[in-house]
Amino acid sequence: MSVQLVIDVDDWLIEGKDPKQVEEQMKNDLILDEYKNGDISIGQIAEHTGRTIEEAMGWVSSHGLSAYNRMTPEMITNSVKKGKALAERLKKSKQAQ
Amino acid sequence: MLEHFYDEIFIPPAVQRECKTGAAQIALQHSFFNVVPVNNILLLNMGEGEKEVLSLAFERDIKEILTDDLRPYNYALRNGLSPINSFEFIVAAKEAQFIDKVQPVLDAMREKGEGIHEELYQEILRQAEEL
Repeated sequence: MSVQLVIDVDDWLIEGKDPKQVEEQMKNDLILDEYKNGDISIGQIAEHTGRTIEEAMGWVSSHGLSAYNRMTPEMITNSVKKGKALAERLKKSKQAQ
Repeated sequence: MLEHFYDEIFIPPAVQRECKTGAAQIALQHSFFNVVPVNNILLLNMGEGEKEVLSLAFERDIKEILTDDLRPYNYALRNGLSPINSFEFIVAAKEAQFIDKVQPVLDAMREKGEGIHEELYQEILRQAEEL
């Protein structure tokens, strides 16, 4: 009986890259993808990568990402409405005092 | 500015721990921030800070949370809370005339490295009627 193997090699096997470096890069790419999709937060990135919150924010920002980048024009419209409602509530609350 | 909008502002210990350096650490020293313990932390797939913020809100029956992360924001919405993000708060501050414009705040956020890209920046200013 022949011994069989099916492999799905990553390009580092072919190109001779450092597996640890590639693994780290893949991990980073995954983290950035998850952040981009809103699946993980800055807090989680900081926890998982041993960074402070500021460092984690700087890191995602250096890859062109931020929490605000996930905002669509519709979300911004809603945010403007919510912001105005918040201000209105404050006004009423001050008047009541 | 938060103190103008709220009588009491609570911060869970995990968020305090996250604010180890810089302006956040200094800001938390103001007396209107109350760092309070959370007794029952929800089992959620989120960061410690987000979990404690949501848990504290439910525990103390506080409706409003401030978060810029989409996951806790959406979780809060789905579960009857009223989350706000920094941008909503900036608009509120402008409406309440604590600031004249949104733009300088956005500029400061960009300088700090918030990564607000140009298209989004323009859209925010347009909707805030500053373009």
